[in-house]
Amino acid sequence: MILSNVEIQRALNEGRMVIVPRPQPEQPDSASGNCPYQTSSVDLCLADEITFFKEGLALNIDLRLGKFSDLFGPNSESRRISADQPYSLAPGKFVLGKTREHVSLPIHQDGTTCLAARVEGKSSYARCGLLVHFTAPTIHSGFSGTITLELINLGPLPVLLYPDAPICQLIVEEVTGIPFRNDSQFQHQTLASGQSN
Amino acid sequence: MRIEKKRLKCRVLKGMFSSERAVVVSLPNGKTSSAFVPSSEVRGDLNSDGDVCVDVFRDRGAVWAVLPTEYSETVPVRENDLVSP
Repeated sequence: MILSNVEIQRALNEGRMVIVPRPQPEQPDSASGNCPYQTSSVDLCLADEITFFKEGLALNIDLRLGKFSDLFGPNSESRRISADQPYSLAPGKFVLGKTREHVSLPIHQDGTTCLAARVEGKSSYARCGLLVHFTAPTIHSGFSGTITLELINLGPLPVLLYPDAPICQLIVEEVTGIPFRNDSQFQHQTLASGQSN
Repeated sequence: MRIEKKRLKCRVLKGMFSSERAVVVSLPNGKTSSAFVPSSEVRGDLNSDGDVCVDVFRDRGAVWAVLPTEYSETVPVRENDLVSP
């Protein structure tokens, strides 16, 4: 069941979901009309760093290897963005961003309903051809961190990426039952083969 | 199940974002696994050996470490690679 904006605020108040900094204002601003709480989602904003692969890498990404962190980190570079110096995302280009907000969806063992979420784009950006998240939208129960955004410009014109822009929305859902944690999953697997490189 | 705070030996590499590091940890089978973790959870200079804060639990003779990644990735580790925080 998808939570309404009222239920999202209730979940924040009850600690079933934590968003830092908490999106404000909670009601539409009388001057601007702005409010991050949409009918059934809450907007999250772009942080002030964009990262991308270095140009001209002579690398093949081998999907058989599984983990890529040690490959992607050293072969990427990042750039701070500001209101004065946005990042211009050219047509066809792919970069990573992250949300300004730190999101936590704690797992409760006391029967309190857990939450999961999906991160989705905003229709206004979509009309420009900007994808903000694809193939892996689910934010699982137990997650804690900033949300990595995969930004790609499918449109014909460059898109300027500014920090604090409300770039995506979080759709929040209740999880039926008490999930077991990922670490429990691994207790029932044989060692290692699927996780190594 | 008892969970202990430990530090796990790792190789420290540059992350994609400035607030993270890529760490490479050794697995009992001799292979390695890598993950992005917050730089605040890592000790050690870039491109050198260091350690990362993990939650450790033991099950049926195996030692497991929960890495401080976005999705709490869990890897089997060697006891000798764990150090007290």
